Amino acid sequence: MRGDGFAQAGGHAGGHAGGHAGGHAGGHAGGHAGGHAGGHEAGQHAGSGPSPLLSAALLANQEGTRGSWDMAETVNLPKKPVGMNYLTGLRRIQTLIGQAAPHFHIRPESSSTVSLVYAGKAVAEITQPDIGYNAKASANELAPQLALMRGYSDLRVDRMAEIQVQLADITSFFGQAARLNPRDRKATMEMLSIVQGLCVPLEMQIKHMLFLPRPGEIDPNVLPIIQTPDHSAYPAGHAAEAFALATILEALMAKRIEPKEDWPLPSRIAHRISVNRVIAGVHFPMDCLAGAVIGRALAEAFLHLVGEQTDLVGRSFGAGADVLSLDTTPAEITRALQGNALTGLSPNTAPSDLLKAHWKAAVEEWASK
Amino acid sequence: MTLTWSGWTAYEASESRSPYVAWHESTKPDQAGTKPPQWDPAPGKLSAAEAILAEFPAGNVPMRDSARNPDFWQQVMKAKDSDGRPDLGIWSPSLASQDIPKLPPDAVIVGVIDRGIPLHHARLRYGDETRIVAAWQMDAPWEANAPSNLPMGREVFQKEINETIAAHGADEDAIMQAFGLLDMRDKNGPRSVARRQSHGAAVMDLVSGYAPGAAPENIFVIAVNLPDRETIGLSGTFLDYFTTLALYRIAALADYLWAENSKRWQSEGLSPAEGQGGFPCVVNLSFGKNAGPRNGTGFFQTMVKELRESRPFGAPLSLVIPTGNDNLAQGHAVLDIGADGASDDLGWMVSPEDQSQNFVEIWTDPIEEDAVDKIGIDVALPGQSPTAPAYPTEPQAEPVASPSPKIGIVRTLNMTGEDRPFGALYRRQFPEPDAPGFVRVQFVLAVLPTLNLSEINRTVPSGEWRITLTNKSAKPITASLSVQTDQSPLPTAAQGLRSYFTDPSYSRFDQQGRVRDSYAFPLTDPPTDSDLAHKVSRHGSLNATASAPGTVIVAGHLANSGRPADYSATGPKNGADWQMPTLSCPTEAGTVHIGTITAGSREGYALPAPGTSFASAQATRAIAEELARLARAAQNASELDEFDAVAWAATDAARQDEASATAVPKAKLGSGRMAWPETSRQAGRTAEQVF
Repeated sequence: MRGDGFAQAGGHAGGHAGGHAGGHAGGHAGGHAGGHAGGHEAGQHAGSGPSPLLSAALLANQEGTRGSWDMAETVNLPKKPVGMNYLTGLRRIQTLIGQAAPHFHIRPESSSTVSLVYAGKAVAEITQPDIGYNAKASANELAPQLALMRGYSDLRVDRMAEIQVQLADITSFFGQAARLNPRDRKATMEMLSIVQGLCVPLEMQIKHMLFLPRPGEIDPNVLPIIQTPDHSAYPAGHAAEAFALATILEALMAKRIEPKEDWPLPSRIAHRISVNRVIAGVHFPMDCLAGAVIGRALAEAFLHLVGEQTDLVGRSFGAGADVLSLDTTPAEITRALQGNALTGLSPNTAPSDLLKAHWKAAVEEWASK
Repeated sequence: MTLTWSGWTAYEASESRSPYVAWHESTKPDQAGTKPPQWDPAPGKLSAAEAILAEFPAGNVPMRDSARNPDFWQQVMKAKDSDGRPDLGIWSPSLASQDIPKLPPDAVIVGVIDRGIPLHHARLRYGDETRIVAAWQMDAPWEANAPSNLPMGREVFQKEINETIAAHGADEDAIMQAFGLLDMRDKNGPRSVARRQSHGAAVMDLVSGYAPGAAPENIFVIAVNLPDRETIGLSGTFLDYFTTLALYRIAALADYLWAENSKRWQSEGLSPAEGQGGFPCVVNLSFGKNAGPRNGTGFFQTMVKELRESRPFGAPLSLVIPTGNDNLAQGHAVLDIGADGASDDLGWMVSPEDQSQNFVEIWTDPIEEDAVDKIGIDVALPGQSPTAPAYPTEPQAEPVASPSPKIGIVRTLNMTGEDRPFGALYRRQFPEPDAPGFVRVQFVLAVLPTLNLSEINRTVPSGEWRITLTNKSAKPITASLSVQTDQSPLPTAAQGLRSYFTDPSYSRFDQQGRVRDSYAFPLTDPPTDSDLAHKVSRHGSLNATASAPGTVIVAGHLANSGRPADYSATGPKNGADWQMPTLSCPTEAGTVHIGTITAGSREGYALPAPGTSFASAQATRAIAEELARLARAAQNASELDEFDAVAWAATDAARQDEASATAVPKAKLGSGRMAWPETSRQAGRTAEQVF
């Protein structure tokens, strides 16, 4: 019942606070793990869901059937599980997040720059846009971003359905392109949940350290159509998670479907999910650029961890003088995602073999004949 | 990624006169394609064929590859009319005599130019006989082996329509495939009739759909099925090409049918009215553009005028067009600029995530020729400062008389390292009819989309651009600005977003919180103007294609209350009568019961269709029925020749609206509101209208 507290506290921003049984790093886009891995699975009895009534009935059954508790003479231990398929999806995801998380941390570089560190290297270095935050800030610094948001707000009617659904679920949108389902794409879906679950605590740290107020705090005319979340605008969580998922999916989909273009469909979907948050009025365009950089960097590092990728690129965003004038267009995102090759990565000391095995299972779901 | 405007240069390319076509050409990647036929027009007035080629060089018009006749324009160049100029006459059909549709001498032709008209529909036939005598299917495959005298597609006649219906019976999909209206296998294949509702089906039923046996016996239909939206251009770049050809074709077919049928009338004891030389025609065109000259001097309007003036005696041609639905699009603005260096500016919001290009037209009122170079224009990108370089000398005027002036000068929006422009600004001068020495200056501004999924760097920034006009001449000027039409490829998609003008004084809602229309409702005497912003106005949003003398322009209203439809576009504030709507027809049953019930794309459907396209169709029906009565009774063709569709429609609407005690605002409703036609599906749905 621990989940209850989160669900109540979440309210409108519910999806973000997790709101599913377990209350682990639920993620902005919330319901992912809870949803498919079946929050309902955890604690499910053989014939019905948990409840005080069922427990009372089971107690009565125990008293009526056990008699005196005579220990069995000999016990053959059950087989030791091989692999992790004996666990429900949720617990598997939690275990694997636990295994992945120690490989990543956030390191402050200065008062306005932090790095996402993997294998001893900064795979993403994010700088807070220079709006003279610690001095008397002039809101006019953000005027170009607000001007862009004004144009984006014209699209609210068009995007209403997506904005609403994407409060709690971004996976369905990738599912359109990749046929995600809990039977023959189970490992893939769990891998996405793991990456998303990994992303949230990291992005939350960066948001706190590079705190930027939300657009609605700067200009009352923004009038967002969804509740403005409590955490910092910069970087954008939806953008980070969406581009992380897109990167993982593109790596898996490429096993069977030769990618034809430079701006493939999962990236387009990630872009649209990011832009929808700007349209809704809770992000500046530049937040999404920073988020895209984090998401891509995190996912590529994850692919390195599971043995899929051998080369890594170091990326940075936010230090340029023109960052306040940038819009989150495909051209700008592509530019922001360019980086420099990283060499001299430290070897992994924390374990990752369970992760590697699970990645292999995901890859097998994309095997050709 | 900084974009900068170049200076102005004289426009050298000799091909197209249309800035939209010139822009279209400049943004295409280099393609080895069909070069347009080489052609140097002789001095003098261009023939219709030459005028079309000057505006739309033949190799440049996009269309489905399978529909294109590659030799047509070459043959036109070789054929000469009596003035020795290239002639469209080569396209006269030649049917075997038993295949020619039989028309009586008192026949009236109703033309419908639209998209997705199902030719087989039961409402257009009586039993097995269709009342459609001919249909030009512009999107159908051009058959290389069949004698094809058309620039694209193919034509079907009444006999073939009847035979196709008989062959396929209830399989409407097969019938439509046979007519080139439906091809789901080709990824770009025509499929507007695949949806339940197609624009053409809805218009056709309202124009000439009748219950079996109820159609007047002397009304016959010629249909033209236009190509899809992408071919025509999401901003209508090539609309005038297809609609001009469609209209000329309808007239040519009407005349062909007259000539062929008149050969047999005498032997059957029939004769036309005294002196009559052809069938009277009324044509519905439920299309248009949001920007254009609006004074009758546009390409299409000039071609229509020429065609109407060349009709044989007793065979008038009337054109019926809707006002359009853009009253509330904030796409029209008027700037009054003082003399001696005064300037004024207007914000132009270009949406992000917009996959279609954006265009604005800026027109001055008539000014003296030597003032032209004194009108400055600058278009500043969001966040950039204006620059307004000097004008070069324009190239010499040329000796050919064309409906369309040449582009004089141009400046382009460029990115370093990229050879194709990201935007352009063209200037043309339109001589003012009846005012020698005076011209209207037209600027056409074109920019790339803000989202481009195939070439992601080929975009312009979104946000508020700023258009500044400066007037250094000695007299104040008035400039009107219009955002051009901007559609998505599919009717329900939101990929193409329309840009709009910003004006802090513009109010979308009235004091009660209702959407603000151009005039207050209930109507007052005189009407109360509620379109009060300083720059952006609902007045003047009327369909630019419709703005020409002699066109019946149709607005929309709600049948149950007489309230003007808020989207129905409004005529200019101080315009001539012919720039106003002629009349209004019902486009909605009421606030909740939207639309006018009409046919869907299959015979089993009846669906509501909202919009002034369907008001126009009803007016065409009324005019056709009146013409049919006149034709049956006429003894002398002068009775037909004198028929003025505009005057008749205005008078009849005023008669039907007499019950209203209030004055009707002309710019919104024309001379009055007609009820739903008695012979249409709406008959009996509402009580006699009392507003």
